[in-house]
Amino acid sequence: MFLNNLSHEIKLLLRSQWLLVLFISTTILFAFAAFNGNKNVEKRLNDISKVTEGLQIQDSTMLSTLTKIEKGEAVDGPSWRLPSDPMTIGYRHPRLAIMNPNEFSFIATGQSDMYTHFKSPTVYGNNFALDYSEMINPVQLLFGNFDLAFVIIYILPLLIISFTFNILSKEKELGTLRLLSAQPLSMINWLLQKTGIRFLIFNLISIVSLLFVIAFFSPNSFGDGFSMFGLVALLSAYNLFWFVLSCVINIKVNNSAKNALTLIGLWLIIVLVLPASINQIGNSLYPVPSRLKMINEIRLIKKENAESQNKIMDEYLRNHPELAQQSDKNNFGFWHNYFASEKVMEEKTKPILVEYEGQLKKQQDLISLFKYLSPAILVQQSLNNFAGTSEKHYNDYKKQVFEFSDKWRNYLAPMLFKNQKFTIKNYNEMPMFNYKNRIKNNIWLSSIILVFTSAFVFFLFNSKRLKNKSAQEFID
Amino acid sequence: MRNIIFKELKELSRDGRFKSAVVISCILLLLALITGVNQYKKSNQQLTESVSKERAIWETQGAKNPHSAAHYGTYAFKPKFALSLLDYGVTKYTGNSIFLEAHNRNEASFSEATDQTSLARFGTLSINFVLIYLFPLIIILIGYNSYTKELENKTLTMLKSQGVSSVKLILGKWFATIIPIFILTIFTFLVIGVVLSNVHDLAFFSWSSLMTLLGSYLVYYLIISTITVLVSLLSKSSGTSLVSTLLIWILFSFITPKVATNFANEAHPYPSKSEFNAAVAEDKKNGLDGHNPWNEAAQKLESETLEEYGVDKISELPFNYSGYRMQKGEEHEAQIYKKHYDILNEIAIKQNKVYGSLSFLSPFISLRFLSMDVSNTSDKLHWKFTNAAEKYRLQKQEFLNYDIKDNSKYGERGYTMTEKKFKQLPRFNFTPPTNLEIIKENTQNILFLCLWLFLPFVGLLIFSKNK
Repeated sequence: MFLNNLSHEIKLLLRSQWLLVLFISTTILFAFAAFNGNKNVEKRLNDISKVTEGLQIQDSTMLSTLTKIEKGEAVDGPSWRLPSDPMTIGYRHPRLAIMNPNEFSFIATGQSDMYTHFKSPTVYGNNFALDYSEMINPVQLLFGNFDLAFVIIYILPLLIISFTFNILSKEKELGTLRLLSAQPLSMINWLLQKTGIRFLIFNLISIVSLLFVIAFFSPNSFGDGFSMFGLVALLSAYNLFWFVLSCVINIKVNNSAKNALTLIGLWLIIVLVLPASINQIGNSLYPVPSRLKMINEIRLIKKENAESQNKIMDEYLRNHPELAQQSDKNNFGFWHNYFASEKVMEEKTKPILVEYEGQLKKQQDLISLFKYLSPAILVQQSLNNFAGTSEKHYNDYKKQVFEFSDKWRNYLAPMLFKNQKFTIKNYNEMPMFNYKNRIKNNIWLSSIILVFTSAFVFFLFNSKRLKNKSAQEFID
Repeated sequence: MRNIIFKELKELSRDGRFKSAVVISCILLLLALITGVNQYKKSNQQLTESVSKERAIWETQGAKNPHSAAHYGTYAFKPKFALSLLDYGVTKYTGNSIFLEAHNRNEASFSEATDQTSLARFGTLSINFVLIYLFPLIIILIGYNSYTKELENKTLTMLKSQGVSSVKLILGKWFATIIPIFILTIFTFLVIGVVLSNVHDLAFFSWSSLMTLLGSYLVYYLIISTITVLVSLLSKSSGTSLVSTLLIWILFSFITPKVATNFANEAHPYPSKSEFNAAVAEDKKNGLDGHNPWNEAAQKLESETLEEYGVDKISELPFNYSGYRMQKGEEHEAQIYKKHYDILNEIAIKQNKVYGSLSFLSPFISLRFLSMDVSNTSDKLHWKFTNAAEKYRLQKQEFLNYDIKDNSKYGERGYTMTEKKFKQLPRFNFTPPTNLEIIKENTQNILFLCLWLFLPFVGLLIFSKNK
C-alpha cells in the first residue's frame, strides 16, 4: 500500500507543479536570507579588520619608539607618554579582545546586531561595567533581519500549512474519500502514510535547498559535518512538528477552509502571540533589575571615594605590602594614586555589579525556561546558539573580556609598582585575548525535544483514532 | 445597502470563529494593558527616584573645583511618555540615560534590550502589538469570504435577480467589514484613554495624541478592509481569497519591514562605535575638517581676547582666562561631536527613508513610524532627546567654566566652588514635540496611508462595477 500511496502522491504533486513551486520558493527565500546573513557577517568582519589594522599601525609606531628607547636614541614626546612606561601601554595601547563570527553566524543574526564584537579593556577604568552595545539605528533592531532563522521559524511553517491543510479534507470535499474507504485499507494508516510521504518530500526539498544555499554562501561550513547534521536534524524536527500539527487538525477539523484558518491561528499563537506574551509576562513577573538604580549606587560610591581620596593610597599599600616595598612611598606619581583609587573603586562597586549580574542571570535563566512553551522559541534559541549569536555567547564574551582585562592588569600593574620599564620583550610575551566559544549549542537536544513534542501532540489527539480503524468518522 | 450591512453583521454575530478571535484579542489587550500599566508605574517610579538621587548627588558633592565637578559629571534621564504605554516603539533598544561630563559627548547607554534574552526579539505583547498585528487578522477573518461565499453558495445570482447593484453590494460588504473593527478599536481607545487619565504621575498625556493614533489605526484598518474585500471580489474561492489576504498580511507586517532593514543597512551602513570614536579622536587631534586644531584656535582666541580688552597679558584681563578658554575649548570639541553626530543622524534619516520608500509595498511601515512618533517612542524622539542632553551638557559646562572665569584668579590653585553654588545649576528639562509638529513631520507617512486607502478603494469600485 505504501508504494502505491507514494507513487500516487508524487504523481499528484508533480502534475500540480507543487514540488517545483516549493523548491523554487524555498530556494529563493533561503538564498535571499543567506545573502543577507552573509552581508551582516561581512560587515562584522570588515569592522573587525578595520580595528585590527588600526591597532597594527599603532603597534608598529609604538614598537619603533621602543626600539629607539632600548637603543638609547632620543625620542619625541613627554616621558609619561612614552611606551616604556607600562601605564602608557595599559592605557594608550590596550589589546583588542575580538569576538570573531563562527562559520554558521550567517544563519541567525540573533543578538549580533546590537552588540560590539571587539573591546579594548584598558589597564584600569570601568572594565567591569563596559558598555557592549553597538551603534545601530534602533528601528533596525525593532524590525529585525530577514535571515535564515526568520525563514525557518516564520515562513517554513506557512509553506507546510499550505502544503498540508487539505490532505484529508480535499478527498472528503471531492467525494473521493468514500471511494477510498471502500478499499481494503485502514483510513488512519492511509492518512499517516500520505502525511508521512509529504513530510519526507517537503523535508527533502527544504534540506536540499538549505544545503545548496549554504554550499554557495559558506562552503567552509561543511567542514563541521556533525554541526551541519545537527542543523539538518533541527530543521527536520521543526518541520515534523508542523506536519504533525497539520495532520491532527486535518483529522479533528476536516474542512479545508476551517483547517486553513485553524492552522493559521495556531501558527499565529506559536510564532507570534505566545513568544510576545511570554516575553511581556515574564518581564513583568521577573523584571530585569534596574540599571538606573545600579548607576545611582555606583555614583554614590564614587562620591565617597572622591571624599576619601587621600586615605586610599595608604590603605591600598597596606593591602599590597609587596608593592610598597618596591617603591619610594614619597614619590608616588599620578598613576600610583589613580591606580590605587580605581582599585578601591572597583572593589567597592564589585558587589553591586555581582549582585546585578546575578539578578540578571537569574531573570534570563527564568525567561529562557519558557522556551519550552513554544517550538518557535526553542528553534530560535537553538539557531542563535548554533550561530554563536545568542545572549549566552555575548554574556560569555563579556566574561572573557573581563577575565582578560584582569590578566592584562596583573601583567602591567606590578611593573608600575616595581618601576620596571616596558620593553619589546614584554610586548612579545604580554597576554593576548583569544575568544573561545564555551557555549554548548544543544541543537541535538532541541531536535529531540521537538520530536518528543510532536509525538506527544500526535498521540494526545489521535490515540482514539489509532485504535478505531473505521473510516466512517473521517467521512462524517 | 443597509439591508446588506445588517445581514452581514447578523451573520458575523453568529460566527464562532469571529467571536473567539475577538475574545482572544480582548484578553490579550487586557493583559497588555495591565502589564503595561504596571511596568510603566514601576519604571516611572525608578526614573523619578534616579532623577532625584542623581540631583542630590550633584548638589551634595561639597565644595569642589568646578572642573573636577565637570569630570564627575551628572546624568540626563529620558522621561517616560504616557503613550509609551500603548506603543513601546524603539524605547527598549535605546538607552534612557546619558552621562554628561567634560570633554566627551556620550551615548545613551545600557538599553533594556541588551539586558534581555533573545526572546525579546519576537516582539513584546503591547497594545500596539494587538492593534497592528492581530486586528488586521480579525478584518481578514470577517472579510475574506464576503464576496466568494455568495459565489460558493450560489446566492449571487439570486441577489442580482433582485436588482441589487454590484457596487452597492460590495460597498455593503465593505461597510460590514469595517463596522465591527471600528467599534472594537474605538472602544479599545476609550478604555485606554480612561485608564491613562487615571494613572498618577503620567507625563505628557494628551487626548489629541491619542485621537491621532486612533485615526491612524482606523485608516490602516480601512486599508486592510478594502484590500480584503477587493481580494475576495477578485478570487474564485474563499480558500484562495483567504490565502491571498494572509499572504498580503505577512508581506505587509513581516517580510517588507525585514527586507527594508537589510536594504537600509546595505545602502547606508552605520559606522561601528570604534570607527566613530576614532573619527572623533582624529578631528579632536587635527581640528575640524583637518584644519584649525584646538591648539591653533586657542592661540587665536587668546590674541583676539587680549585685543578686545586692550591688554598685553592674560593676567591683566578682568576675568580668569583659564575658565573662558576651557569653555571655548569645550565648545570647539562640541562642534566636532556635532559634526559626527550629524553624520550619524544623516545615515539614520537615509535608512528611515529606505523604510519610507518601501511603504509603497506595505502601509504597515508608514503606520509603524507614525504610531511611534505620536507615542514619543521613535528614534526621532531619541535623537531630539540626545541633542537636548548635549545642549544641557554645554550649558552645564558653561555654568562651571564661567564660575572659574568670574570667581577665581588666573593661576590660582586650589579654587573651589561652594556646595550652595552647585545647587544653582538648572535642572535638565526635556519637552517632546507637540502633536501638531509630529503630524507635520509625518506628512509622508500620512500621504502613503491615504494613497494606500485611495488606490485599492478605486480598484474596489471599478471591479465591483464590472461584476
